[in-house]
Formats: sequence, structure tokens, C-alpha cells
Amino acid sequence: MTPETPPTDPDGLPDPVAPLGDRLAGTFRTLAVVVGVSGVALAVGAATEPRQFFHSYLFGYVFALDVALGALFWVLIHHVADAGWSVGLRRVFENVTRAVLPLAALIVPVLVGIYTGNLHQWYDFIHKDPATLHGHEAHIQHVKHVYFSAPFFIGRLALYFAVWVIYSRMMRTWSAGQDAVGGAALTRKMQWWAPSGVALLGLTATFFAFDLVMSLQYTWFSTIFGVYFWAGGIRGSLAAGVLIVLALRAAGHLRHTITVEHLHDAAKLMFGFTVFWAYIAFSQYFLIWYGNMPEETQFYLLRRNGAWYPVSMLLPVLYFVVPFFMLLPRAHKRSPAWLALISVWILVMHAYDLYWQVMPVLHPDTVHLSYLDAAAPVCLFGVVLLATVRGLQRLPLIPVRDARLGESIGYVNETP
Amino acid sequence: MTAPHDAHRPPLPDPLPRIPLVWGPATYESVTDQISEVTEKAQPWWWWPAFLVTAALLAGGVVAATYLISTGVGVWGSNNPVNWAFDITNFVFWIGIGHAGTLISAILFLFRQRWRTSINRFAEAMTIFAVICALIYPTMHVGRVWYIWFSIPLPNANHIWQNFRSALIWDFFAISTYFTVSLIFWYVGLIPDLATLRDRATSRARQRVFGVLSLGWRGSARNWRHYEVAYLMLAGLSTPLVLSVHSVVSFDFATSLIPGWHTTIFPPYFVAGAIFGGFAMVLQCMIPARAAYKLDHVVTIKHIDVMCKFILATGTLVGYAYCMELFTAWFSGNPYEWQTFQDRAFSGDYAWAYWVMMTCNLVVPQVFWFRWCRQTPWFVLLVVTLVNVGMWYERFVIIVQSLHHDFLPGSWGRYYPSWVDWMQMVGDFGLFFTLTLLFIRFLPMVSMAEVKGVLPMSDPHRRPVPPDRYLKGEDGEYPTADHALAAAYGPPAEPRAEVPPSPEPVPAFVSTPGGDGKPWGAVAEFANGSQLLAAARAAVAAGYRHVDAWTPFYVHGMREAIGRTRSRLPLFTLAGGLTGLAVAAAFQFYLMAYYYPTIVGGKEYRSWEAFVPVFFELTVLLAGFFTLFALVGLCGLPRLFHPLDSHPTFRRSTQAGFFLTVEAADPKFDADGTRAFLESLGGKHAAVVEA
Repeated sequence: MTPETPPTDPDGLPDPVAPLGDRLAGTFRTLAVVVGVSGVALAVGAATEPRQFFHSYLFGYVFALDVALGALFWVLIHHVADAGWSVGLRRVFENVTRAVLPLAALIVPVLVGIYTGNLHQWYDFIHKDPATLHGHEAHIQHVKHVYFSAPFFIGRLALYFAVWVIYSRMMRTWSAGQDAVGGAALTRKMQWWAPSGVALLGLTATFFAFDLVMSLQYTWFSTIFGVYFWAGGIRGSLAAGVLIVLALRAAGHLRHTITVEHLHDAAKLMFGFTVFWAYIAFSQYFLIWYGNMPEETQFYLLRRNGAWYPVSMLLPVLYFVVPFFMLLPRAHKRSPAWLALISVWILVMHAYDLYWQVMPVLHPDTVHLSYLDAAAPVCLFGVVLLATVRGLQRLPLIPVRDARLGESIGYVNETP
Repeated sequence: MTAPHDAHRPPLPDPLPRIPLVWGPATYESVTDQISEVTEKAQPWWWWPAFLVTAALLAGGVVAATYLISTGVGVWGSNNPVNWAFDITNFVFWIGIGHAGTLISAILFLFRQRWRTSINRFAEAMTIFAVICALIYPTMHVGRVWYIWFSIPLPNANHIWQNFRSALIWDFFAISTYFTVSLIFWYVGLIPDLATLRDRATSRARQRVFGVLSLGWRGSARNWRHYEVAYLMLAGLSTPLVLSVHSVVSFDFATSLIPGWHTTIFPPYFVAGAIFGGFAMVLQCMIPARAAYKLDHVVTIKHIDVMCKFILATGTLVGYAYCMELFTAWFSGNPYEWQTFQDRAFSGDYAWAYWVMMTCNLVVPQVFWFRWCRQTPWFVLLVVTLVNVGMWYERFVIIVQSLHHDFLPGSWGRYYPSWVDWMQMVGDFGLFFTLTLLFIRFLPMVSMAEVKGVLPMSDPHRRPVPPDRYLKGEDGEYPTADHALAAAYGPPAEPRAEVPPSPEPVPAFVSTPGGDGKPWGAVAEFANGSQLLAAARAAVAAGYRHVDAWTPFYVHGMREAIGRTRSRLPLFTLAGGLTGLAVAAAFQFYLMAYYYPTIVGGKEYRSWEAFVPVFFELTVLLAGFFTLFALVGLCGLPRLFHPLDSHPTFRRSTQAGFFLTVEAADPKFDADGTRAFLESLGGKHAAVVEA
């Protein structure tokens, strides 16, 4: 199994799909420069305004990781469903999951932020002298003390990353191995492992969201928060995947392999997850609004302060209503230009959503835009793109000997 | 329909052939005969005994309900603090059962899971029956059932309207919309099959009943063009609808402040649980029916396998929700939540029920990781029975356990069901199974038109495989055990090459009763879908414009072949949706903020949030109605008489026949010439039909 030097492509493919190798060297260099420059900006920020830096970094980090995990979801769900049409798209998502390992290393600044007291406020809270706390608070402190104790906290983060790295590597290795040998055995192997991967990914992503995002307001809780995190990540990564495909097509690759028929299906899924996100977001908001209990409403109260009020009001409009109507007409779903616009829109709004989740904790009274709020997502999402480009350079652009490739090539949407 | 550049490419290897959805040499005729005969021939020996048992249970329920109505709801065991008990448990249970039908018919349709065609009819019927069973409880719970009309949005005394910020009125809207749209969806799906029964009828009565019910459907490609799009629209509407219904049911609990009820994951958790329980009930009914009517080549072991995987997935999701609740009760540090969950899971009177629920819903379905467990019908039947028990207990735990220990220890109490509770519950099962038995007896329980569309012989891209290589990989072995199972049923039948003879001679000019002597058009029968498709293209290429094709199922590509564009029906759906939204917005804001403003729960008059459920439900309801009316209108239905009915073989068009017509309205039409033209394309039994 030598994925780095694949054998010749099978006959019958409508496009050349050889690894892009040096043809993407320029793209890789440009991206590396962007990541480097934004990384320098982040370093300056870390030195001059650490609290702002750590919060911006967390925002950028969750944005990038969410896309990488969403890509892992799409790879796994392809195998769970024994899908045929999406074989060509799957390689793009496999390439995006290459970012999981670098992102595992890049969590270090988040931990530094927490353990220097610059990020999550529970760090101070669990170290308070219990004698200074009143009855109920002391009980909460006890619970949080157990849950956020350093060994447990860092240990489970390590566990999450272990799951993500192992599953994404397994799927990539087997998929690349199949490029060489073909046949059904590796397809069946991936199909055998994928369901447990989806289950574990769901569970670990939930607790990741609890640990690093929900716990920014450590007395707040919402049982649906994990599902909210999935909904955003799955949708954001789909938009990212479609954008990568559109970029490849614009550069002249895969035009007859991933056609408007495949894009149409991807757009239908995007539409579905747009509605799903709205459903989950509304369920969370609505039940807290209706129940009106202080310990729950604190999340939304904080986001009704000052300039955060219009930000909150615009979120459902810009992240649900606008993409809903953009994706509704069939013609838009089949137009690469529209899809590019919609995907950029969704990806930007996904960042907006995460910004809205993270930043009010740092600036409770007003929206304070810092250059770090741009540098962090650019740098960390740049890392995701670097990993993806590396995959495009080294592996064929589609799984060339996948058992279901014949179904994907020349696939025609049968929707009436 | 492959792209032009595909023609000269060699086919890619296919090491893992797709297993067909229907096994063995099934043909259009065999599917039609087998499914239709269930409703046409005498019932099997077990039908009457089964019916008498379920009808007796139902009668018991009717007695209990009569006693309750004549006495009062006090005859139930519900009392302070457990004011909701068996009634709402059963209500939620049955609403949940219904969800699998909509999932199978709508969501799987959108995801192109075409295996659904074998089971969707049955599951949709169960949806409707389950909703009927569920509706009994809120009706009874009113106590004075003659006041049930208070839940309809009409002003009662003193011009007081319903409180649109109450979860109970959302329930009314959600469930009535769900029932209506599910009924529309089911009925639209039934239309082609009702037409089949009409055309097979041997008695005048059956012909008339099914003739009226099928609205005069004849399978014209111009009608299929609207039909397919209408079906897609209804699937698109039903998908968010099914999510909304159980979400709204979950709001009944989650909008309150009761620990154990008020938690944000309730909406998706209820939906997952509903699909879980619904699949279990579909299997519970489908496995015996499949065995009794020898449908194992249509509802294959692979169908059961896939449904078991759905049960595993949704059961695990439900387990995830249980764990999230338990974790958050602890993590929140909220003493009331934690007390409730300690009581629920460990120390309380109902901890046993909690562990019944946990075992049946989370632990037991995990056996479906193993193939043997998914593919052994009697074992599946055992597991799904446990799942049904578990899902009943889930609602019991949520409702009774949460209520029996509320905030104040002084008001704690226990719940004891009365005999009326039990009898009504059993009677509800009686009602459900009675309706199911009637359905099996009188309507086609498998969607014939859809199954015909997924037969291997209907696939125009199918590559011919020698029978000894059937379902084998390149190495000559079966890639999986499932391939071997399917191959044991034999390779699929090839489409027939010849048109079967007509029972009576076909005259060149077919006169119709009451005809005016002028020709309506020319008609000819073709052997199969591919031939018809080619003939339709040739007719359009020859310059004919008023061409139509008549087929037992929707043949892909036929719309383009007869020179038609995509149906504009979605515009009607959109118009209906916007109308519904506008109506809901206008009446809720007007009534609640201006006409009779009331403060409920400390919310502002104009707060929009609580109006969202009704916005959504009315949007879907009117969109569904507009879709149905647009379908009927655009297809020119009902049309109980048609000149083509006089053609001796035309009745086959809803069973296994493929017909092409050119109407006299066509400028190129010339009675003898057009008939000869159709014959030159390979058409048989060609004739000109009198208008």
C-alpha cells in the first residue's frame, strides 16, 4: 500500500484524476504565507492583549475543528449509508480530515489560555476557597471541581482527539489503499467500521462542545448543545467541501466526474441541514425563552446586551432565512455560481454563529472587533486548507478504484 | 440517460453489485397479481379469528370509554399530583408510532432510499391508524367530550379565543395537520393502485367504488409528470412536519418547569424516540404479514435488516438523550433536577420502570450490531416487542415519575391505574390492529406502482449479466452473504419482448358508447417501457405534438420523451405555504395582541416565539392542500370516463401494459396514417378511438 505513488488510473474515467503534486505547489506556498502572516499577528496579540488573543483563538479554533470534524462525519456517513453517488466527493472530505492531527497539536494555546486564567472562568471558580461560597454555589463548585479537574479535563480531550485521529486515519488509509488494489474488501472494511465511528464522533464532539464552548458560561447548561454543535459543523463542512470542489472545477479538474448532478445533491443536503440547524437552534432558544429560568436564560441575556442584541437578532435571519430562500429554487441548486455564493455565505455565517457563542463572554457589553478575530479563523482555517491541499497533491482526486465509483460517474439525479 | 461522452468509455468494474430491491424473477404481472389478489380473493383462514380478537379488545375499549363519558374522568387513576398518566402516556406512544410511516414514506424518499417502496404503504397506513388511536386520549381527557370543539380555533362565550401561547393548542394544530397531510400523502400514493384495482375488478360494485376512489387515474405520462412532482412536494412538506409534530408534543412537557420535563433536548429526542418506536411497530406488523402472504421476495430479509439498523441507530440516539439528561442534571448543579434523576434512576418508586426503559431502548437494540440478529425474523419480532414495551415505559417514566415527586415533598404521591385505564389502553391496541386488519383486507398493502418502478427490469441502465455471474464479484464469488441470499431467489426476469394477445379482436376503429363519430386519437400497445420510450421519442421526432404515454408506473425519461417540461406544480405548493403563513400570522397577532390581548406566562403581547408552531403547521397544512388540489386540477381529474376505456386491452395500462397515443387534436393527425405510423414503431393492437 503506497498511497504516495499510486498506480495508473483505471480506464473509463472521464477526467484525469492524478494527484496534483507540484501543480498545487504555488497554492500551498500562498496558503502557507497566509497562515504564517496571520500566525505572526496572533503571536503579537498573544503578547500584547492575552485575553483577547485567547478568546479569538478559541473562536478560530472551534471554527476550524468544526469543519474538520464535519468532514469526518461526511466520510463516515458515506460508508454507513453504502452511498454510491458521493464517491467522488468523499475524497475531498477525506483530505479535509487530514487537518485533525495538526489541530490536535494546535489546541495547546487553548489549554494555555485556560490554565493561565485567561479563558474559561470556571478555572477561577473551582479554585475558590469553598468557605467563601454560599450554600448552593458551594454545591455547584463541588460538581464543577470534579468535572473540570485538570487530569479528567485534559485526559478526556486527549481521548476525543484519539478517536478523531484514529478514525480519520483509518478511513484515509483504507481509501488510499483501495486506490491501488480496488475490489470490495476495503469498501466492506470501511463500511464495517464507520457506524461505530459515527457514534463515537457524536459523543466526543458533544463533550468537546460542552467542555470548550458551553462551559464558557460555566453555570449555564443545555442538553441540546451537543446537537447544536453537530448541526453547525456538519453544515459548515459541507459548505467547505462544496467550495473546494467548485475551486477544483474552476481550475479545470473533475468537471465530468463531479457534475452539476452531484452538486445538486450536495445542495439538497445543504438545504436540509440549513433547516435542521434552524430547528435545533429554535428548540434551544424557545424552551429557554418559554421556561424563563435565570440559570438558563443567562446565555441569551448576555447576548441581548448592547450591540449584541442586533447580532443575535440577525443570526437566524442571516443563517437560516437567507440561505433557505437562496437554496429553495431548483435552478440555484444546480448553478455552480449560486452554490459558490451560498457556500461562502454559510461558511461565513458559521463563523458568525461561533463568534456569537464565544465572544460575548469577553466583551459582555459591546461588540469589540479586534484584528485577532480575523487573524485566528484565517490562520486556523488556513491550516485546514493546507492539509487539504497536501491531500490533493498526494492522492488521486477521487477514490479511483472504489467499489461504487461506477455509480458515481455519470450519475444522474432522478428527482422529478 | 448518460452524458454523450460516456458512450465510448469502458464500464468501470463492479466488484460489489447492488442487491436488487425485489428478489427473484418478479414481473409487472406477478407483482400486480400477488398484491391485488389479497384484496380480491377470500380472506385466509386466520383473518376472521384475528379480527374477532382485535374487535373484542376494541369493544372493551368502547365500553370503558362509554363508562368514562357517562361518569367523568375521575374513573381514571390520574389524580394529584399525577394528573397525567396512562392517558398522555398512550397519547404520546401512539403519536410516536405514527412517525415511522412518515419517515419511511417521506424522509427516505428524499434520501432516495428506494427500498422503502416495499413497506411505505403499510407504514403510512399505520401512521394514520396510530394518529386515530392517539386522538382518543386528548378527546377523553376533556372529560366533557362534547366540548372538544373548544380546541378548534373558534371564539366561545364572551368572544374568548384559544390561548395561542399554550402548548396544548399547538398540539391541536400539529396533530390535525399531521393527520390531514399524512392522509393526503397516503391517498396520493394510493391513487395509481386504486386504479389498478378498478381495472382488475370483476364486479360492477368494485369497479365503481375503485373507479371513484382512483379519480379516473389512467397512468398518462402527462399526469405522471405532475404526480411525481406532487409526491416530491408532499415528501418535502411531510419531512419537517414529522419533526414538528413530536417536537410540539415534547413542548407539552418541556415548556413547563417540572424537573425531568424542562430540558432543551426534548424536541429531537422525542423525534428520535418516535421513529425508533415506529419502526418497531412496523416490523411488529410487517413480519407476520410478510409470512402470511408470502411476500418475502418483496419485503426481503434485507428490508428487515435495514429497518433493524434504523432501530439500532435511533435507539442509540434515544440512549444519547437519556445520557445527556442524566449528565446535565448532575452537571448543572440544580438540586431539583438532580433529585428527580436520582429518584428516577436509583432511589425512587419508579426506578424499575426507568431500567425497563433503559434496557429495552438502549441495551437490547445493541444486538442489532450482529447480522444474525437482524436477519432472523422471529428474533427481530422478539426484540421489537421489547422496544415497543420500552417506548411505552419511556413515556410512562417521563410523565408519571416526573409528576409524582415535584418540588415540594409535601405534595408527593403515587399513581395507581384503574381498570378503566387498562381497558382503554388495551382497547386502543384493539382499534389499531382492527384497522390494520381491515386495511390488509381491502387495500393493496404494498405500493404496486412504486414496486414496479424498482424492479430490475425497469432499470434502463441495467447491464446484462449471465445468470451464473448474477450478483457475483469479479472473482466469481458472492461479495457478501446477502448477495448469496438474494441470488438464491434466482436472477431477475427480463422485460417481455412481445405484446400479449388481446382477449378479443381489436378493430381498426373502436367506437365508444355515446361517441360522436369523430376520432379521439390513435392508440397502440408496446411490449415494455424501453420500447415505449423509444416510440414516444420517435413520434415526437416525426413531428407529432399531442403525444401521450400510458404506463403502470412512472417511466423515467418519459416526460422529456413526450416533449413536456417539468411540472409547475411547486408554485402552487409555495403559494399554499405562503397563504398558510400569512393566515397564521394575521390571526395569531390580531387575536392575541389586539382583539383580546391576554398576558400568558409573563410574555409580551407581540412576542412572536410562541406563535411559531402554528405558523409552521398552517404553512404546511395549506401547502399540502394546495398541492393536492393542484395535482387533481392539473391532471384534469376526476375523469371517470375516457374514450380509451373502450379499447379492448387498454385496461392493462394500470397493470403491465404500455400504450402510446396521438390525439386527433394534433395538426399532423390523420386517422389511418397515424395508426399505421404507431404500428410501424412496433405498436400492437393499434386502433383509432372514437371521441
